[in-house]
Amino acid sequence: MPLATRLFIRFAVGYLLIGLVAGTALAFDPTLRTFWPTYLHLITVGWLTQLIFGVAFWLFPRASREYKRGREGYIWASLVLLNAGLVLRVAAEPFDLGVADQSALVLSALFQLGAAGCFVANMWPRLKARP
Amino acid sequence: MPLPTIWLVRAALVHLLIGTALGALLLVTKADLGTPHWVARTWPLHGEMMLLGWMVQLAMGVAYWILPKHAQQPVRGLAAPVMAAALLINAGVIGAGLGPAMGRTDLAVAGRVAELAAVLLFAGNAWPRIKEFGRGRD
Repeated sequence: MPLATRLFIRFAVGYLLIGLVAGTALAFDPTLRTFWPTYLHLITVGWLTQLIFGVAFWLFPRASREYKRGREGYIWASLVLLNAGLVLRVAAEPFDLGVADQSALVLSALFQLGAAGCFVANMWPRLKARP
Repeated sequence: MPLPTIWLVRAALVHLLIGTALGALLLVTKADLGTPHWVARTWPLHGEMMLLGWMVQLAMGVAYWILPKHAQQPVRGLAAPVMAAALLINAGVIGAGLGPAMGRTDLAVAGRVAELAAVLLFAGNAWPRIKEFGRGRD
């Protein structure tokens, strides 16, 4: 299992745990409703999407002899951007911190979009029929 | 990798990109930077694209590829119903996602029906292949 996959899956399990703790807190205290979108994205992006990224990078067909798992720079960029984007979201979305909050949300949006773009750039050339 | 899988996974990647772009716009809206009003109405499309268009469609594509094969041709079952499922799920996601944004209940219902039909076609292919590897082969 390649290093990037191991990191994706470890981060994914971490977000699943944090997401479930957040979900438990939401169930106990309904006044924490502002955390709901953050909780949802911890599970769907932090856990599910990140797990898919890691496993797909590991198991999808080879891109070429030269680039066995495609251009790996894209997948490392995707790993960093996805996690940086999520951390910024968790830090900013449920709170109202003024300008800092606004900047963090915009950066989070850009980072997560960049992560998706980098993942697609790695995967697209690997989707091909067996010769 | 079989052709229906390539179709389904490529379409899933397109949904991932567009769905994430919509999600990014929705997140920027929370920052009160004067994004257009229509952006706030796209959250059902964002949810539909990420859940059905990205995750479910990717799972369907990979399942068609890796589930145990039949002993006889066609080893992965007929490809046509799975190709039809690919068309239906993509049409369904667009209908079910745009319907609420446009205030069109008929479009939303048609989208859901198309998604249901896609899943039924997929299940018809996958169900007989849910078995031990090698079973049915001599």
